[in-house]
Amino acid sequence: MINRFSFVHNDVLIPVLIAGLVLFAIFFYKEWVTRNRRNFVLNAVVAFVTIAALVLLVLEPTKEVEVDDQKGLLLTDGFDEQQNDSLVSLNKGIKVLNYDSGKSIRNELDSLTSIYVIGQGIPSYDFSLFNDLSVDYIPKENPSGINRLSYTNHINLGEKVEIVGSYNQPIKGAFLVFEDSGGNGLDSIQFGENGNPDFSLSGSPKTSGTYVYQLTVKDSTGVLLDGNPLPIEIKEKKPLRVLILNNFPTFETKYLKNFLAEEGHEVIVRSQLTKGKFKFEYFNTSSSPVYELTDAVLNQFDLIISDADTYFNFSASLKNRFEKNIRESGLGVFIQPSEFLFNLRESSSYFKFKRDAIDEVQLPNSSNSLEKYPYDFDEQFLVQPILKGDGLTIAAYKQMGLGRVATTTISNSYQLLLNGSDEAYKNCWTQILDAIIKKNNMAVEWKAVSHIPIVDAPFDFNLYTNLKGFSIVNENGGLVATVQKPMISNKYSGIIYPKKKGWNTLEIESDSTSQFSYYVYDDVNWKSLRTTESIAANQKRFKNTLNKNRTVTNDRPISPISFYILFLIGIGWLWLSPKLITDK
Amino acid sequence: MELGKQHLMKFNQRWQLLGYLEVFLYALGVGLFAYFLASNILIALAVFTLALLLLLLIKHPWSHNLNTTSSYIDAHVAEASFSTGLLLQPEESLSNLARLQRYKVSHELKTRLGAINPPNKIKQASAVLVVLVVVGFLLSKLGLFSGVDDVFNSNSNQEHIQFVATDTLAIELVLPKITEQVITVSYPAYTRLGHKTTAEPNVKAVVNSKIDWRLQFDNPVSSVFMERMGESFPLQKVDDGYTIRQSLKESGFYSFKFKNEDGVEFTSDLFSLEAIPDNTPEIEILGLEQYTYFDFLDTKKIQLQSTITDDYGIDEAYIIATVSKGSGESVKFREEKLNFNEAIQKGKRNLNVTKNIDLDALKMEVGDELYFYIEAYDEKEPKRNVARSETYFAVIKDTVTDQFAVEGTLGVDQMPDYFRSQRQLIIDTEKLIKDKPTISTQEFKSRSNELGFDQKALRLKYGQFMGDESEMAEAPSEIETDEAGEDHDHAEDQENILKEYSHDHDGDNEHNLVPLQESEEAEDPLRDYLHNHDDPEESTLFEESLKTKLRKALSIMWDAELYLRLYEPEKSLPFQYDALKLIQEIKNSARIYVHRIGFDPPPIKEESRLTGSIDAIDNFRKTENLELDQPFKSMNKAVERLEKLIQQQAVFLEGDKEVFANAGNELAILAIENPGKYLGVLQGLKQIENNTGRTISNYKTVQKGLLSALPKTKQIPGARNTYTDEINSLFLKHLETYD
Repeated sequence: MINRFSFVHNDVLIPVLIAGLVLFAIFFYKEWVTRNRRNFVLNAVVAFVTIAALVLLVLEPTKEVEVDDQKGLLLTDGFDEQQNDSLVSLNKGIKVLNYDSGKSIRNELDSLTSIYVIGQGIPSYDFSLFNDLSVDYIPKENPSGINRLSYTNHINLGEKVEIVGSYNQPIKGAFLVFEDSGGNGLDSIQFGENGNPDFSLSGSPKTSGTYVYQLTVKDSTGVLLDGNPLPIEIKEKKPLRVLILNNFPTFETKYLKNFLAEEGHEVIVRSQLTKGKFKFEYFNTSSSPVYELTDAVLNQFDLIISDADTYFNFSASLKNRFEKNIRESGLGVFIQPSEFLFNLRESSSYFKFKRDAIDEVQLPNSSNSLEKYPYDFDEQFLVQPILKGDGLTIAAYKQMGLGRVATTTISNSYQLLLNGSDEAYKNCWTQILDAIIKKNNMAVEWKAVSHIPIVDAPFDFNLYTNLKGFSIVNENGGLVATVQKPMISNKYSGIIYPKKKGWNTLEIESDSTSQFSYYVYDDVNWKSLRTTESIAANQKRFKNTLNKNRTVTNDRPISPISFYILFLIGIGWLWLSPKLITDK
Repeated sequence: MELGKQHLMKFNQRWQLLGYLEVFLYALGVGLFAYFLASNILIALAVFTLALLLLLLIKHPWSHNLNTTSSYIDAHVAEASFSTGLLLQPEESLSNLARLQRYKVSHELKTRLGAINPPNKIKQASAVLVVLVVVGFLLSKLGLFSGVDDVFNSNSNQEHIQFVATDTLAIELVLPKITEQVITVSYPAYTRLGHKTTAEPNVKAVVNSKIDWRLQFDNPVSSVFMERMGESFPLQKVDDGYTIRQSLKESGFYSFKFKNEDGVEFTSDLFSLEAIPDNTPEIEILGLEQYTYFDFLDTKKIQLQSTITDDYGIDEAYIIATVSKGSGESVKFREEKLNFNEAIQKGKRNLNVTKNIDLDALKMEVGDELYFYIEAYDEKEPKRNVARSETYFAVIKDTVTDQFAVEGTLGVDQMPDYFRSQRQLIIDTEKLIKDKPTISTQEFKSRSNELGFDQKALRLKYGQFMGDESEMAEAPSEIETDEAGEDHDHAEDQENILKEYSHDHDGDNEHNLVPLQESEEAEDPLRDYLHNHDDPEESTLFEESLKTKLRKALSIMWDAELYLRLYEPEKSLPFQYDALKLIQEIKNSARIYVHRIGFDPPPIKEESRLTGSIDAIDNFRKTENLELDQPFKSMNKAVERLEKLIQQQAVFLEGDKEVFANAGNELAILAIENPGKYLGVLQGLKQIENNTGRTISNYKTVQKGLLSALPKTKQIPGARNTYTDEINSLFLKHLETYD
C-alpha cells in the first residue's frame, strides 16, 4: 500500500526545485524568442516534463512499504569474529551495524524488526534506542582481570582504605599490589594455585588531599602487567571540643585527657573536689568555668565524657536537657563505667547488662589484654557494638535520635599506656570516640552515580541539599543544570559530559567548601571491570525484551529508470523539433 | 771462502729488520689514529700493541732464513748464476767445479749485494702511516667523534660537582666550573687504610676519618662555603684553589655554595657523607659446651679454642676467669685475668687463639665453680671498642654436701634457745614459784639453778657491751648492730656465745680468760694517740648515763642470779624486775635518739578539726596549651602539592619553594640515620626548589620518596562532616519510638 511519497534527498528539495524552475524559465524564454507558433505550446509542455524528470532523478523519490522481517546484527566492542560470521551466514540479508558511541545508529535501527547484539554490549545510556526493538543479546565471555571492585574513595586521615573485589582468571603467581600515589606498595596479595578470585586489600594513607592511588598487577618478578587508578580523597578530621565531667579525679580520666589534649583537641575537665568545689583543667582553650550545663553550654561540645556516678545523679531536668541535646543536635556522650552503672535499671541507664564473670578481655588486633568489669552488654534493639574482643562486646553505643551514648566494660584502659602499648590505647579510644562524636553539618552532599566516568560519556550524579535557589558550576565556571526530584525535595540529579581526564570538580556557586571532586578515567582504565559490568547490564536489560518482531514501514526508492526514459524522450524531442521545422 | 756466506747472512738480517720495521710502521699508524679518535693515551697504546702483535703474526718477518735469501738472490742477481746455494754448503762436500763456481759467486756477491735491497713495503707502510695520522688529526679537529671522547671520559665529567645559580634571573651568566676537584679521605691510622683520593663527591668512610676537599674553579670566585647539616664552614683559599678539612663523626649531607665576581650565588647539588661505624670485635668460642661438669677424679682441664675477628684489627684479648668458692653467704670470688697460649699480635684482623684452662692450677676444689669469658678490644680511637663473649661455666661436682634442714614432719624448730630474755626469766621464775608446791624439792632446786644459769648468760651478754669481765679479747665488730639493745642474740654472736655455754661450768671460761687478757697486754706505743673503738673500755658508743645504767643493771642481775642459785626465786624476782626496767630504759633511750631527728608535725587546730567547714577551700584551675607536635607538616604539604603538580591541576608557584625547602629540612632529620637511602629524594627536592628539576618525573620520584619516608598516621579521634538528611533524621527519631 502506498501511503506517502518522499524523497531520498529531502534536504535539497527546495534548491533543486528552484533550479528546475529557473531552467524551465530559461528554456521558456528561449522558445518564446525563437517561437514557432506551431510548436511553441508542445515544446513548452515537453520541456516541463523533461525538467520535471530531471528534478526527480536528482531528488530520488521514495515510497513507504511495510517490512516485517528485517534482522540486524550490532557489533559492539570485543565481539567474536566467529559469532559474527555464523550469524551472518545463518541469517540471509542481515544488516550488520557497527556500534560506535560517537555516531548515531538511530536511523539504521528504525528499519529493523529485530536485532542481535554481540560483544560487550551497549552502554547503558544508549539503552533507550532499543526500547521498541526485539533485541537478542549474545554475551561474550567475561574478560580476564578485575571484574568486581568496591573501595572507600572518601576517607578521613587515619582511616584505612579497604578494597574488596574479585579477579577473573588470575595469572598464577602474579601479585595484585595496592600502591600509593608515589608507587610505594601498601598491600598486596599473590594469586595462588587454588585460583581464588576474591581479594581484599587495605592501606592507610599518610597525608590528606586528593590522590590517585594505583591497583597494579605484577608478575612474580615484579614486572608491571596492568595498572588502574584508584582516585581517593582523604580529608583531615577536625579537632574536637570535649567536656569531661568527673565526680572525683581518676587515672582513667587523667590519661584519656592527656591523650586528647596532646592531639590538639580542646578539652575541659571538671572534676569535683568536694561539695560545690571543682577542679577545672583547660587544655588548648580559654578558661571559662563550666558550672551550669545549659543548652548553650552543651551545644559547644562535640563530645561529653562523664563518669556514671555524675551522669546518673543529675537532676531529672538536667538529664532531660542532656537527652534533648543528644536527640536533637546529635551530641555524643560517653559514660565512664563503674559498678554503679551496672547496677542501674535499664530504663535509667540506657544499657542492659548481664553478669558474665569474665575479668579480662583480649583487645581486637592486639596482643594486649585488659581488665574489665564482669558484665556484658545484653542485646538491645538500638545498641550497636563498637569494639569487640574475644567475641564479647567491650564497647557499644545506643542511638538516641541523632546522637549516640556509649559506654564500655573495660575498667582500666590506661594499663595499656603503662605497659607501653600506646598504639593499642590510642586505637581503642579512637574507635570508641569516633563512633559517637557529634557530626559537623554539611550543607551539601554529592553522590556519583556513574562510578567509572570517562571522557565524553555521561556522568550522572546526585546532590542532596536543603539549599534553595543555588546553582552548580564546574571547574571552568560553567553552569550545570540539575533536576529536583518531585517526591524528595532535597534530592537533585544531573548529568555532565566531562571534557578532560583526571580530576574534575563541581561546586555550589559561591561556596567553595561544597566542592566535589570526581576523577575522570582514561578510556583504557578498568577495561575488564567496565566490560564485565556492561555485559551484566546488557544481559539484565535484554533478558525480557519484546519477543514479537515489530513491523516497520520502510521507504524504498522508486526505480529511476522511468525518469531516465522520460527525460531521454523529452530531450530527444526538443532536439528534433527545430530540425523538423527548418527542414520544411 | 766463508765471506760469501757472511754476505748472505747480512742480507738476510737486513731483510728481517725491514720486515719488522714495516710491521712497526703499520702498528704505529693504527695506534696514532686511535689516539686521535679517543684522545686517550692508554687506549692508543692498547690499540698499538694489538695491531703490532696481529701484524707480526700475519707477516712473521722472522721466517726469512738463509735458504729463502739465497733463492731470492738467485732470482734477482744474474751474476749469482743460480749458485748461491753453493755458499750454504760445506766446501769439502763440493766438487772442484762447484768450488770454482762458489768462489766466483761469493766474489760477485760482495760487490752486488750492496746494491740490491731485500724486497720490502716500507714506502707503502710509511704512506699508510702518514695517511692515518693526517686523517686521524683531521677527525679529531673536526670533533666528529666527540661522542667517543665522551664515552671514554664520562666518569670524570659526571663526578665533577655541578653548580646552579640560586638566583634564577642570573641564569645567562657564565657558570664558574670546577676544573679540579680532589677529595682525600684520610682514614684513622689504626685502620691501616691510609689515604684515598677520589673525585666522587658522595663520600663513604670509617668514623673519625678526616676528609679534605680541594676545589679549583675556572673563573675567580669568592666566599666559598660548605654547608653541612645546617652549618656553614668556609673554605680556605690555598694557591689557586679552595680547601676544607672535615672530620667525619656522623652521617649527613653537604653541599657547596659560592659567589662569583658579580656576587651571584651558586649552589651545588647535595651529596652524602656516610660514616661507617667501626664494629666491635666478634668472638666465637668453638666446640665448648656452655656448662662443663667435672667429677673430682677427672682431669680437670678445659680446651678453649676461639676465633676473634675485627674489621680493622684487634688490640688486645684475654680471658677473665672467676672462681667462686663456697655457697650461700660465705661465697667468695676470685677473679683472674688469663692470657692465651698465643701472643696477641696487635692489629691483626683475624685471630685464632687457644688456651688450656687447668682447674687444678686455679686451686679449685670440690664444689667450686669457674666462670670465664673472653674480652677483646679493637684499636679504635679515641675509645677502643670492647666485646665480650658469652660466659662459660665449669663446675667441679661436690657429691658430699649436707645441708642443715628442719625436718618437715617435726613441726618445731629444734634450734637451741641459747639464752633467755629478762622478761622470759621473770615469767619462768614466777612459774617456778607457782609450781613450787607441786614439784619435788629436787626439781625445784634444779630449775632454780638453771634459771640462775640463764640469768648469768644474759648478764654476760649485756656485759659484752661494757667489756665487763667478759671473756672477749675484742669487742665484736658488730657492736653497732647490737646497739638497739635487743635481748636476743644476733647470728654473728652465736658462735662466741655458744662456745661459752657449751661448757659444763661457766667458771672455766673465766679461768681461760685471764691468760688471754694478759697476753693482750702487749705494749702499744701508739695507744695514746689512737681513738681506739675496738676497746670496749674506751667505747664511746653509749653516753655516760647509759653506761652507769647498764652497769647498775648488770649488778642487779648479779643479785638476781645469786638468789636463784640460793634457791630463793621469790627474793630474786624484785631484782629481776628492776633489771628489766633498767634494760627497758636503756633500750628506750636509744630510741629517743631516733625520735629527736624525726618529723615534727604541725600542731593540729583542735577547734576547727572535724567541723566539715570548707569555706577556705577554693576551686582549682589549670590552663595549659599543648603545642601539637607535627614534625612532618611540610612533608605532608609537599606530598599534597606534588600530587597537584603531577596531576597538572596546578602550576609551580613561588610560595611552593618554601614548602619544599622545609620538607627538605624535615627529611634531612629523618635521613641522618640512612643518608644513602634518601639522598636522591633530597637532591630531587633541592632541584625542585632551585628550578633545575621541575619535571613530572622528578615530582614523582620525590613524592614516592617522601611518602615512603613519612611515618604511619597516628590514630586520633576527630569530627567528620556529614550531611543530615531530613528523611534519615525522621527515620532515626522513629526508630527510638519503636524500641
